[in-house]
Amino acid sequence: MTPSIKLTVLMLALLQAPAWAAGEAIDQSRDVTATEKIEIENMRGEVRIIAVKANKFSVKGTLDEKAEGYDLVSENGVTRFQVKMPRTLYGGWGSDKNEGSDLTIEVPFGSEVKFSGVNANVSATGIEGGTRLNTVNGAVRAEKLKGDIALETVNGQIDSRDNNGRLHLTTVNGEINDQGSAGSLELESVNGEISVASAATDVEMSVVNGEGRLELTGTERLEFSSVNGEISAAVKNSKKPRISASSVSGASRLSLDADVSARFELEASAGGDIGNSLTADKASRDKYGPRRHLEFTTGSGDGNIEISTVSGDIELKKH
Amino acid sequence: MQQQLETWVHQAKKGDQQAFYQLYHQFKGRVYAICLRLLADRGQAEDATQEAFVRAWQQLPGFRGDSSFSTWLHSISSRTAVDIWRKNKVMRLVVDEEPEEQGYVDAPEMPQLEQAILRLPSQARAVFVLFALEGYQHNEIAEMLGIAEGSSKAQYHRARQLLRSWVDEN
Amino acid sequence: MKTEQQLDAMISQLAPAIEPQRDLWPELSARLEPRQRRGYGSWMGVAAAAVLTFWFWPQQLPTAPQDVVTNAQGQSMPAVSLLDVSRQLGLQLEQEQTRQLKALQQIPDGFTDWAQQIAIWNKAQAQIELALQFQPDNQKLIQQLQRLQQQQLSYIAKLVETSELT
Repeated sequence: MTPSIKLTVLMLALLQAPAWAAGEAIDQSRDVTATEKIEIENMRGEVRIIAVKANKFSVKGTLDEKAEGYDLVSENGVTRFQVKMPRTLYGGWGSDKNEGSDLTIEVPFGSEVKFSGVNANVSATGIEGGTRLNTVNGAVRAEKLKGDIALETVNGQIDSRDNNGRLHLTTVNGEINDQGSAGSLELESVNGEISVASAATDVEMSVVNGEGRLELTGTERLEFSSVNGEISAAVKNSKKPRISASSVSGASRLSLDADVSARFELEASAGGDIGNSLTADKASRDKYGPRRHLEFTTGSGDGNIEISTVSGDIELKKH
Repeated sequence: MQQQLETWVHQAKKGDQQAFYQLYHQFKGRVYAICLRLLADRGQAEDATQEAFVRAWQQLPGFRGDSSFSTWLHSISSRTAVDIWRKNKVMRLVVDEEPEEQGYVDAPEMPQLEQAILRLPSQARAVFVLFALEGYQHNEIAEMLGIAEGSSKAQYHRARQLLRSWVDEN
Repeated sequence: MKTEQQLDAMISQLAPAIEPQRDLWPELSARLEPRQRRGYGSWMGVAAAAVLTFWFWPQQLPTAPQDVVTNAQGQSMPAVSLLDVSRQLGLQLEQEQTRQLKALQQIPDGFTDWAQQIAIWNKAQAQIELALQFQPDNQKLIQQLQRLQQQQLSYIAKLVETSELT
């Protein structure tokens, strides 16, 4: 190499890798069982977990700047990977989003994975043995997972795509987006919107202050509840659904197949309106007081639909 | 028999425990059957049976004979068993996220259907027992169990479906 | 799968009575209060009925928190509703956790707004309790209340757990 090119290479190297900002590099790989139980702990940063065909566990990337190394132990079908952080009395190491690990982890398709972090974003793809992703401040993304799936964050968004199994999605402050899921679905948010387009047969949703929008196909059982949020649910291709809904002040809007066969019971006890454009039945009003009530049956009354609210409105219609 | 019963009731009302024992002896099987089938737990059914008779003793002075004693006792027994059933339900909801757990009754000496009833999930079993065996209507059951009338009907159908499939497989 | 008629036939053949496996009379008779003067006897019956009513049909939330009835043994006891039982348990759990919370020296990142968060849950729970006054037998509302309690407890538990890590 000529001296000028050497210099250029050196300058480029310096520009690309500011050593003080990145943590220690890591590149580890080992053979594990096809159904390995994998536990990953990483307090801060970005972690991507990807399922691969090989029976191996690998972790590549950079560790948290403040990390004191890592632990990686495999025995008896269990592999534990932990980024070690110093204990501090000062309530955390700062939540600068640019700080923290940056890791890509590969696991076998059939493995069961648990991830736990604090100021961390985590994503997982393709794991089929069961997945649990848990963070406090951060987003959770999951795609094409199977089995028992639990996605939890306190402050952050949950994005769930094409997952199939028993899903449990929870956030306190944040949105939940679920698209293309199947199996059973349980969603909880306190402050935040929940938006679902799913073919799950069993769906439960609860929101305190926030809206819920559900587009469901083939769902047989649906339970939704809200305190102050409005919930609208469209349930398609379900002739005998079992639906139970409860809200305090939020509106409940439900649209069903025109040929649905079910017993209906709708109640609004303190001022809510009941609108029904599914059938010609109209709500009756108590002679004294604001209570409204509507009970009727369509088809052979196979399904069961109960909606009750205190002061929210109830709207029932066909698609 | 009816005469004998009336005498016992009359005496028991006045405080005659021997007479009350005769009534207990006459009806304990009936009361225990309701309790066991509703609660699916021998220990609880025994407690419930005792409780039902204690309540009957306490309320006897108010029993005016406008219905038969048997009907009156039946009502007390059902409601006592349902009290305990409801208490169980609250405990399950608060302490445990799985509402469908129930005590297991090992009863190989019992006929198939009896065993199958004990296996039903809690709410379906309560509705089934009250409707099909104890003769309550769905609106009454709804009030007793604290559920909607629609739920009562749905649970009843579900119970029948489960029973029909279970009694076949043995 | 048996048919409906076959099932009905089996139901009609169920024994009307089942004998308990042990003798229940001794314990039972010990609980039977001797009958006293007629007037007193019927008053006890009324008290017992009152207990049954409060226990069984919580048609109104007890407005005085210490509504009291007297049972057949002459003891005073608070009228209890279904809701009270679950509230009691919820409160105990909450107290324990709040105690743990107060023992923390530092609130971890992401939980610094914990007081506002708890306030949101408390407000929502108050709304549901108000709603229960309109629909006291609404099991779904009671379940909602319990779910909120559960969420709150999980949140506090997570806060404490995270602070132990950082």
